[in-house]
Amino acid sequence: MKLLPAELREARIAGLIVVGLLLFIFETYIPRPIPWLKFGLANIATLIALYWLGWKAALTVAVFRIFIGAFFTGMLFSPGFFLSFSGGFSATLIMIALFQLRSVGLLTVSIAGALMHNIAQLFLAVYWLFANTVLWYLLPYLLLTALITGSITGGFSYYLLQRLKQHFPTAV
Amino acid sequence: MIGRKIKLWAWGDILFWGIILAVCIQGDFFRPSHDGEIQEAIVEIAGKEKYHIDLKADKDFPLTDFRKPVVLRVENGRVRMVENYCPQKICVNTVAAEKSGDMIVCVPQKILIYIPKTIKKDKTIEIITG
Repeated sequence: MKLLPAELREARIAGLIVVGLLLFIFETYIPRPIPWLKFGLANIATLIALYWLGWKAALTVAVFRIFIGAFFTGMLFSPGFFLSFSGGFSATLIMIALFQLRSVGLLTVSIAGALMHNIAQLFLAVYWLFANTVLWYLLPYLLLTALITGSITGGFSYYLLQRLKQHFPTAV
Repeated sequence: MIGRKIKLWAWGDILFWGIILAVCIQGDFFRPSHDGEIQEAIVEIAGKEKYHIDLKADKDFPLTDFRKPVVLRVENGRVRMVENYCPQKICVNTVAAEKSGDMIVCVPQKILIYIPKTIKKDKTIEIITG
């Protein structure tokens, strides 16, 4: 069966949502050196969608992954879900914006996504969930962890995109 | 691919990385100063200040605001969460709070435990008599 370009594109987006979900679930089983540190492996699927299929695909993958992930982990519309959604959505927006700049590499796009994810979550925690500005003291630590985790996910994404390029050299 | 070469690095990255590293290195700037003796930890639930815990006496503090056990333990001037029924137990695995600005956060239960900024008594007097 030969798929039409639009169907092929949808199938690839659906595939990336599944990859994002599997990474999201896989991550919950990885022992963490710091309890609140998350590697954000699911962001790999969003980054690949951005560089492979464009910004609309990236936004679709991010939003569906967050909703379905929260549904399966029983967190849908809980405080944790709103933190996750605000972080994931704003991270995708900043990655899309930086992706448009030719002078910015994939690693920085990934790190900026991780930074934005942490900043958005902290902002929501400070002004809505806990209503206490003492939480801003966490900002430098969250920025530092975002540098590390963003580099890891960016590195993985770059490697996977190079492999994809070998198998699918033409644009969809 | 969407018609462009994928670069891992680019010149524009240097500026971005520089700014972020500068903020991280200046981390202590955000942290409250640790001038006086730490005496208490504050427990907030859903944005409301609920308890002041004395850090000088070793003791277990069950938080009675929840339907299942949520317990804090004070030991050697440090406070940590020892029991909670939240799904991921991030708060239970967080290291004990002992210095100004240290905190333990539980998002599902909206619990925030932190050690506030302390000021030396003689400093306070100086300000008053000023």
